[in-house]
Amino acid sequence: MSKAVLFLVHGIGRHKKGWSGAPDGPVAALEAAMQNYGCFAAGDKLSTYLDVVEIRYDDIFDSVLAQWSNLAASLPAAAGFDWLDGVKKVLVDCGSDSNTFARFGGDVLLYKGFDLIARAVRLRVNSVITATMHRAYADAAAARHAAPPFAVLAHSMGTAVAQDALYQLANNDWRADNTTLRQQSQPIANLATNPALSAEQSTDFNAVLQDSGRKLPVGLNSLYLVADTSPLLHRAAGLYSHHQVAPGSFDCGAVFTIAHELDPVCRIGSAGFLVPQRPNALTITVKHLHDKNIHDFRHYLSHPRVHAQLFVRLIPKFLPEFKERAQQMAQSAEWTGFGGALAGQADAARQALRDKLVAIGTGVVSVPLLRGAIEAFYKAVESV
Amino acid sequence: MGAALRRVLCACLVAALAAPALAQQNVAALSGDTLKLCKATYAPHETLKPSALMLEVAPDIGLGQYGHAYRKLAARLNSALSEAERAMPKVSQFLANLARADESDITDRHFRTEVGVDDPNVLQLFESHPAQLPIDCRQSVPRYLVEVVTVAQVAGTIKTRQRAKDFEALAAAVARQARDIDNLLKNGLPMWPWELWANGKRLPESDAEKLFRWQWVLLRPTAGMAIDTRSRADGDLQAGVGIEPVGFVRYRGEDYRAWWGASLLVTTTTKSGIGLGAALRWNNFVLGATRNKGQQAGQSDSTVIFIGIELYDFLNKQRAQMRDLDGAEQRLGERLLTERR
Repeated sequence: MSKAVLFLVHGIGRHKKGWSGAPDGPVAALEAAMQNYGCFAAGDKLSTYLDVVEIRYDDIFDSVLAQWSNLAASLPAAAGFDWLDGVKKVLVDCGSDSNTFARFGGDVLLYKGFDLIARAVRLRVNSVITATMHRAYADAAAARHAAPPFAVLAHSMGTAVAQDALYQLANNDWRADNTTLRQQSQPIANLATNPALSAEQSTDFNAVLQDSGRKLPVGLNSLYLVADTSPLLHRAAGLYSHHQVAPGSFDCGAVFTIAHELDPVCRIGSAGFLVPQRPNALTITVKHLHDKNIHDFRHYLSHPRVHAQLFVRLIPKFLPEFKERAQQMAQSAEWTGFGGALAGQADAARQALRDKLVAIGTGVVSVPLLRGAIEAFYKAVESV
Repeated sequence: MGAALRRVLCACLVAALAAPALAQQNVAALSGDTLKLCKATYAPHETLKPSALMLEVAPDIGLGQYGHAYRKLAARLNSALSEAERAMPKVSQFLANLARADESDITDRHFRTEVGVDDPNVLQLFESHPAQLPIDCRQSVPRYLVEVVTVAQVAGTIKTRQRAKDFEALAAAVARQARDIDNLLKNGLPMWPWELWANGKRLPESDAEKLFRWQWVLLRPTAGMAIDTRSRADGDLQAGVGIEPVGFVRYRGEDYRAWWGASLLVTTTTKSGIGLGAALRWNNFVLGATRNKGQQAGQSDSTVIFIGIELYDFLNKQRAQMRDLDGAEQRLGERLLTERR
């Protein structure tokens, strides 16, 4: 059986090529976590057990911001239209300071506010997913094996991007050939009555015709939504996590929503929305504080309840007993409160951090407020 | 040694060889004609051996008649089970779904045994489907589940082959759409934020539908040079900005690198005031003309020619090249005259 394929989708902020494998990236966090379990050897790489495929889309935001900055810079000063001077200043600033803009949630505004950008982002994600799946299916078919399981692990704004992209993938008929077949279906349908066909062949012929406009389910094994913002930020008519290909039949096998009780991003991104129940869905809420930046992807993945749920679904040798061990670890003081880099912090500083995080964005639910909360969050964790 | 005994010994050997590789796994897997399920190895019913099943359906798969293949698997399983087993709701649902597994709503995922979300000791066939079938690995696995899971494993292999072709077409279609939008954003006429917003409103709901080939131009500022044609004295070049209140560009070619278009044009210059007219666009070149009201009493209206900055730069470069050419010709003429003298 071939290794499971894990797609990683990043959130807000700058992510260079190779972001997932960076020392502060998600792969390093999972590899560090693997060291806690006896089924893995010391120094084992995640790539031994999973095919990790990183997905990157924030270069699209950079390219748009650079284009706006260039357009603004091409205009002469005092162009004769007063309003242009204001626009010019804003756009030149965006381009020259794109890191700050993106870090403080500018990506959120670009994705949510501009349909063309959102389409480019979704298609980028889907082109990586479908190309990988196509290759995996072709290899498995050639080797006469079953295809490997596929999972998506998305963080922060990436949860909304992944939900939208997968929803588009699962809900549309992408095959031009089938459109052509549908258009020609009437003349072709007449062929099904050809007396030369056996009854069985005729049945098959009609089945193919009726199936010609079908959508292709993605068939994801698991969807992991870390610091989920998709209820607020998703743009599609529905959530992929809840998409049914037939009544009661969900496209995705299992959905895990992972939240931190103090993270303002997932609090605002998913609070106040009534996401319907579905089978095989689990919400994991963690409350450990090992770093000031509790919103960080790595911080979430380091928690035993989070990574164990991923390992047990995707790595066959991670047996139920290892998940039980993870559950035991999760109940320890280290994973229910302060630990890691903040383990030795004084009580007053701990309380100050808690207070600041709780104060950010409580009770507000909107895209501009989410962006404001992101800015407030980063300022708070840097100043604490 | 009898044939039956040889088969049994072979099966044991296969199981023994497969065991180390499959040991300590929490999912079902086939190894030769044996099934590893819940940390134990099973030999399925004689008629449900994976090799025999694959042999039977191979011609159907070769012809792409997947429906036949799944129905044959369902028939074999049906015969191998007792009447009481077949009557169990989850088993009868599995049989029904297997028989129609060529339909697109059933995927290879449904035939995998997935580790349960709530309890990792319980595996799920047809996970998140009304026919979800749990297998509790803490208890001994009933015989009928061994048969069901064996057939499911074979069906998953067939479904993989069936879906491989679908994914080939899907990947190509997605790549086409991704390439088009990348080309538009990178190669096309750069859009100001409000143009990007407005043009986005024209997109279809589905990303599978083709991207537009023409683009709105809205309140677009364009740097350029204005020439007032009223008189030679007014005809000096004046740097300025033209605004295109509304217009369009039509893309030529698949890569969105080339376009033509037309827009309304508003110009404003210190000498000629505000004028209204039209502009034509060919790639980055913009050429327009506006009618400007006279600025003083008794002054007649005038026509202002607006040359976009890229076109102006291009013309300047051409003029410089011409000057260089003229200079070179002159130097050549002088040299020839000198040589002749």
